[in-house]
Amino acid sequence: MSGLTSSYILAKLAATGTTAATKAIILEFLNTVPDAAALAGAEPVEGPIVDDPAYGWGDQIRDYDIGIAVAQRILSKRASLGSYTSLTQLSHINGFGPDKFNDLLYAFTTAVYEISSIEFNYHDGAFTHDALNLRKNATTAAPTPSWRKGISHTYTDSPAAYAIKETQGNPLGIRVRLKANGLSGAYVRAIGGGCLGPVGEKWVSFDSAGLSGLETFPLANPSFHAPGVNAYNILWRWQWRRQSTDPWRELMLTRHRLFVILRAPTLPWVQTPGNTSLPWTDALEIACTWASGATDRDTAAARIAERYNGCGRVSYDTVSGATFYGFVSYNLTQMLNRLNGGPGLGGKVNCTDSADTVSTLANLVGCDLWQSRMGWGFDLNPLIAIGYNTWAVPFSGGFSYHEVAWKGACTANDRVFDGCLKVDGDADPTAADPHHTPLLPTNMLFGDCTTMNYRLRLCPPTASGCAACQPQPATTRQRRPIL
Amino acid sequence: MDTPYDLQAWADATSRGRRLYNYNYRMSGDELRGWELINVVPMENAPGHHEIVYLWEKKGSAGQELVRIGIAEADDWRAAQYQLHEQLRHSMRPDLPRGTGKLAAIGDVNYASQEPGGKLVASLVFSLGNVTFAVSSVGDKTVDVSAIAQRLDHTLGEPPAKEELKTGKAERLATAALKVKKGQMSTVVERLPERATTGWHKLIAPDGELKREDDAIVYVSPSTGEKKVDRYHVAA
Repeated sequence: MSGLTSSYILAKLAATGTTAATKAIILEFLNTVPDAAALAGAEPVEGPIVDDPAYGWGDQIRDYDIGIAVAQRILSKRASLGSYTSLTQLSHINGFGPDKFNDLLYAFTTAVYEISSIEFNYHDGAFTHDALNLRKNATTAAPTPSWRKGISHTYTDSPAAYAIKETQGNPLGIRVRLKANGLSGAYVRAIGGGCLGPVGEKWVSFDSAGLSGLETFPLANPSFHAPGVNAYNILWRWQWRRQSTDPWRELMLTRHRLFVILRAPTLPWVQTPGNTSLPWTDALEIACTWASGATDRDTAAARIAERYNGCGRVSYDTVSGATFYGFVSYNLTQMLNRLNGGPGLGGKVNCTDSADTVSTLANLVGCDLWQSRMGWGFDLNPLIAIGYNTWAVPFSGGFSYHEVAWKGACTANDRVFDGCLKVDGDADPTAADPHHTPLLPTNMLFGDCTTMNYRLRLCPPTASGCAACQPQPATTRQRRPIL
Repeated sequence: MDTPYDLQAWADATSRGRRLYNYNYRMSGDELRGWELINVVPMENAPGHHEIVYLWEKKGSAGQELVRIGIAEADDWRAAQYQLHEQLRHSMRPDLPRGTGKLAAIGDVNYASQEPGGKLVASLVFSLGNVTFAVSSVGDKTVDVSAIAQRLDHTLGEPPAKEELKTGKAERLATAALKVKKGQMSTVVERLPERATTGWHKLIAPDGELKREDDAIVYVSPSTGEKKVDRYHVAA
């Protein structure tokens, strides 16, 4: 059988004086490395296993340390064992000879070998130079720190959210804990990072146990401000070197989910640590996707209203116009479940449910909308309700009330975003005109009964129509708490 | 907001529900044959108002036929009717019709709405005693919910069936006759058990009304004498 013998491995470990700590680091690396490519490293960048220039053949660039084929055999043996518990188990692996075993020892005897944690949000009370306080949803806190070794594997495992307005022009940073073996210090950086940019190079000191402090690294060149609202997958390639003239050596990859919003979320969202109404990453996924590319509040709210209206997951309750997702509080949890393909509380909604959804998701990305009603008991023009594509006048002619996402004081002089229905956008929206042009009211002035705005598009110009459709902010303007 | 719903008229017409009290009724998943319970969600619609929404899917309908059943418990039949009134206030349809024919007998007060241009009853909201129900078709394919509403009315409004008592599914609790005075409260249950540790309790008085006072259930009789309140327990 080819490869090393157990006795050779034992003798080599004794001869090199390999410490128990180094053995443990190597075993942990071999047992947690996800695939052969990660074990072999990406040539010509060094690491994670590097060629010892003083032993065997050649140097790192022209020669090689452990390649993909041998790396795969090492992982195959790991699979057959379950996991490595001793370095002697590296015996009898075809192609894994003295030179490669030496490289393995060399690479980990003096190395920065671990990113322990990464914090994007390290100031609970502010988010001008770091990320926002987050939750996953109503019942689950966001991970703290955002990224943790052995726990964070996928992009969504490590979320972070930044507000464009509050961070604009400010230096941003992250905080990182690292581990090293046999080193008192090293330069560390990360490349890649997409619109969050690379992590700037920094000298990191390690104590005798190989632990760094909580190191603040600068984000060298974040570029997420200009493109506006969005959600991104961020990949960083962490690297280290002993001296500024050394080539960089690979450390590891970390993955992160980045949410970019316009400005601080408004109610019902808060930034109070521990509060269940901290921005939910489950909601940010939808809100940032729907408002993608928006660089101002009106555009963001309009896009959210449009995407909600066209989502295909809910339709108007033409039977009774009942509120299904809560009228004292808003069950956002169940609405998100529904929008993501689950059952939620069913597929029917009314205007209250729609106003809640549009305003709550818009406010999450930094808009400033309210839920507010108009009424009471008024006639309607033909409209297209959410989930339908035909013109109709619901309920034999009228609504007892209607509710929308509304700006400002929610008066006739303020603008509405109605995700629940499309009005007729042509010159004559009344039933008398058979021609209709669908128009989703986004950032549309509520208006009066003399000028063609939202109110006259929704209601006919009659005493029982437009005149009866009055803004009711005094008793109904609110932002329902979320569940 | 003015509504056409007259709480006083509802109260004047209420008789059966005054004598009923249900505590901690829960749907467990075997109540509707041919349907699967796919979601159970506690709602917070008002302080002290315990509503649970049950979402049922017709087996084999691939999510097209869904029924949402909201069941909310209040402290007494008046509070339940107030909750029903609140619920109707949050419906955009201005002219919700009352149930007619067989449906008129459901609950103490009910509203039954048909799908536009059709005959299927797609929504039936009602109160019965201290409980409010909202049964709605909420899938892409409309479902007639009247049979489900009738079943709920029967389940909570009538004593357990003999078969249920015989098999031990339900138990009639021994209760002594109460010596009551006209218009005065008599305690029937000293202290209601915690919701998490008990099943469903149903009380039916011969007349008068039942209501909750703090953690107790009390009976107010319209006449002086000896009265017996039937009490049943159904295991969770």
